[in-house]
Amino acid sequence: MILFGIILGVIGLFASFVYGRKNSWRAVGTIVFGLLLIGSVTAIVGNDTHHWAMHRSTTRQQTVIKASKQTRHGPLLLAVKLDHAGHDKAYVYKTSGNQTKHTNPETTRVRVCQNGKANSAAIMTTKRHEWQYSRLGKIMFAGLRNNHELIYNNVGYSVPSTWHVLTIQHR
Amino acid sequence: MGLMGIVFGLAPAIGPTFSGWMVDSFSWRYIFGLILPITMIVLVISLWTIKNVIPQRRTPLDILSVVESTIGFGSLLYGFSAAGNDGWLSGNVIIAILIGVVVIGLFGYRQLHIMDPLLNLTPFKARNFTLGTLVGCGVMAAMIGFEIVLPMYLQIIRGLSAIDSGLSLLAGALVTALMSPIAGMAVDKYGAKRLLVIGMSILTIGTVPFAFVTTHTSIVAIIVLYAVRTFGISLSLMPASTLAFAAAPMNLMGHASANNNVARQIASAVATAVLVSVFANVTKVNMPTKHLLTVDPLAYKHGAFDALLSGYHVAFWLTALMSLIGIGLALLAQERSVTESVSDNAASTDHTIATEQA
Repeated sequence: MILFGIILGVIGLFASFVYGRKNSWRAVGTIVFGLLLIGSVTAIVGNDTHHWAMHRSTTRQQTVIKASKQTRHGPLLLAVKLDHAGHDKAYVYKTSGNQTKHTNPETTRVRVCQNGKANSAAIMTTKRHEWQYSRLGKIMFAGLRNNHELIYNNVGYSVPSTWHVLTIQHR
Repeated sequence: MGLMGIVFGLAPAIGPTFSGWMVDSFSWRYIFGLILPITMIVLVISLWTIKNVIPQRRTPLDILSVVESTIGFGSLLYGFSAAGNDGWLSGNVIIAILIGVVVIGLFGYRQLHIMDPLLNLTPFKARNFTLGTLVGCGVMAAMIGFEIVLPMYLQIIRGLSAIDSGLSLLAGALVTALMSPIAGMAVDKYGAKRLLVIGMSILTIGTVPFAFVTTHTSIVAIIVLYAVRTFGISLSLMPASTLAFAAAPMNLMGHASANNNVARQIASAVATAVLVSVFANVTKVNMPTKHLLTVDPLAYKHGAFDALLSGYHVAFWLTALMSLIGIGLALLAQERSVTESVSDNAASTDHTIATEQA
């Protein structure tokens, strides 16, 4: 709707200002289409910078994971440290299909806890926080393709007591 | 003039798309390599096809004017370009700009006081010629400068490839192709001033949102807003020439055309240099220290992106300011019929030439 508003605003503003014959109609057309154009452009900026017509939403997903590496001391959950301070770590794990994956340290906050049981499965719980359009927003900003914009992920690893968390420095 | 508008407006508008494809598919060197044979073919064809439309007369070449214009304009452009690396307060930059301004001043003074000037500045005595040329400069500056900075944003901040960033600007090029003939017909019927005012207003409205772009701005929104800008440019670029040339005396049309072209080329070159240098300086000032790169690389990345964004914001605000000034200049233009303005100015210029010869 906003994109349509911009296109209609531009064409209407041009047509009424240039081709308008009677001064009164020309003025009315210019004001109406000018406001439509400015309003639509403002709405796009507001949506982009202040997430107008959007709200925060959280989705939760649980996955059974495997250790990044098996050692003689037990299964390992590897944390690759990207900085000296240790704020930014990427956690490496394997999916049930044995695919190696890692968390994105830029967008993910991670918490690891050992569940105290030796034989239970290792669970990764991902809480995805994102911006989602309200019902009105979906109509207003249709076509902008910015729904479900990620804010951050909360990842919690619940691993058996036999697992070890090993932090290594990324080179 | 509408058809001319397609050429003048579409060529720069399609440039980023074409060069993006060339860079991704071949190498940046091919951009120049491909243009060379086209230029040579055009040069050869023009020898037979382009005829002189205004009376020719032999005029001596004023060597000192050539030297002054080369040093003056060259120095000014160098100063603005060097500001990107050295900063605006660097001695190198200040001296180059000062030399440029002084020598261009001397060049202008000389042109007004010799019998056969290299660049006859008399057309600038016509109010609408000056205003039309200035608005044209503003449009060129807002168009060329912006087209340098926007692909930088799309590629550096958004991670788009050269061809994708070029394709994002293609809709704008198509709008130019569509609107130029319509603008040409409207100018014939309603005059240039009306189109200039609305064109520059639309250009300003379409530029301001770019001063708020973020790391996640919708690419669709960027494509549409860029098309809004080119809509405004199509309504302004060619009408600015119409306004200027309609006010220029017929017997000085060659000089009027030269003045108009020189002014536009310089405006786009200076605007590009200023926008890029302002962008570079603002980015440099806001960039986090290199130490952070080793201590916390992700924090450095966020800081670097914020610094780049603030650079883009200032550059886009400057572009919006240029088009805003263009609205003011367009409003100052006099709405007169073409024949009236030509005869008025031709008479006054004939008088000027007679005075000079006396």
